[in-house]
Amino acid sequence: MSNVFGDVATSAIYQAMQGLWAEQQAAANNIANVNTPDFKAQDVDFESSLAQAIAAGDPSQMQVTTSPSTAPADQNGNNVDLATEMVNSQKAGMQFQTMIDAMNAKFQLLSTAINGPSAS
Amino acid sequence: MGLFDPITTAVTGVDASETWLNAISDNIANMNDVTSTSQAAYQERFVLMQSVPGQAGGTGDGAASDAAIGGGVTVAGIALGSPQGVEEHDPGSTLADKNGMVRAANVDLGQQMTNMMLAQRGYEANLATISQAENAYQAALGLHV
Repeated sequence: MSNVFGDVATSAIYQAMQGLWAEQQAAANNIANVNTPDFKAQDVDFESSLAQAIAAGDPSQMQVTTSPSTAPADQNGNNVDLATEMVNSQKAGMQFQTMIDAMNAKFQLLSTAINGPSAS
Repeated sequence: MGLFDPITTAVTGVDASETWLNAISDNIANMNDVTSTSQAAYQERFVLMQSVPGQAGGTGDGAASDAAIGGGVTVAGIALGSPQGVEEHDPGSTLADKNGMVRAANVDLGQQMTNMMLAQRGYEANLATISQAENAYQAALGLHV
């Protein structure tokens, strides 16, 4: 990925959106199973992997990892904490929005480079 | 990544909560049912929920996490409580046997009301997920050059 449209920044933003999407999906799944007996909430992590991948110069090597939550379970064996999941979902949504803004800013730079400062 | 995954997942949660609410209202509506001792009592409805595993076999970016993250919840079936119910002494009833006993439904209203709160909470939480995912899509639609 060495061309102008596939640089590390664009690729990193894209990978972050993938990771945040997985977080959103995991929160939706955990919330859907808030009343399922013996269900264990899933935690998603991509940040540490993305940081390593960016440091290595190829963000596309990022891995999304999921692991069962170790939170204590209810009487029915379910350990979904609704408040935590709502916060996670909200947080992932806002970070997603931020990534979209970052991607727009990046495109804006490219657009300026291609068309000159007068075009927007 | 499936495009509408979080919404699809949340809809499974809404559906399951709705099924549970239906079962609870059925139980409460029949809590005062009485039959003769020769017949079965109203059997309490229990909704059996089960989580749906993730969809493997997708291609492209995000396929790995699609397979790892579950796809919501499903109603595996409805279990029925004991047809025994509780035998009550009600000699005045037209259904009473020679000992004056009738068979009444064994539904605990307190338990049903508690379940109703849980089902309602689940229903609302899944609706909140849908509007959250909707915001994310809205943001993605704002991506432009």
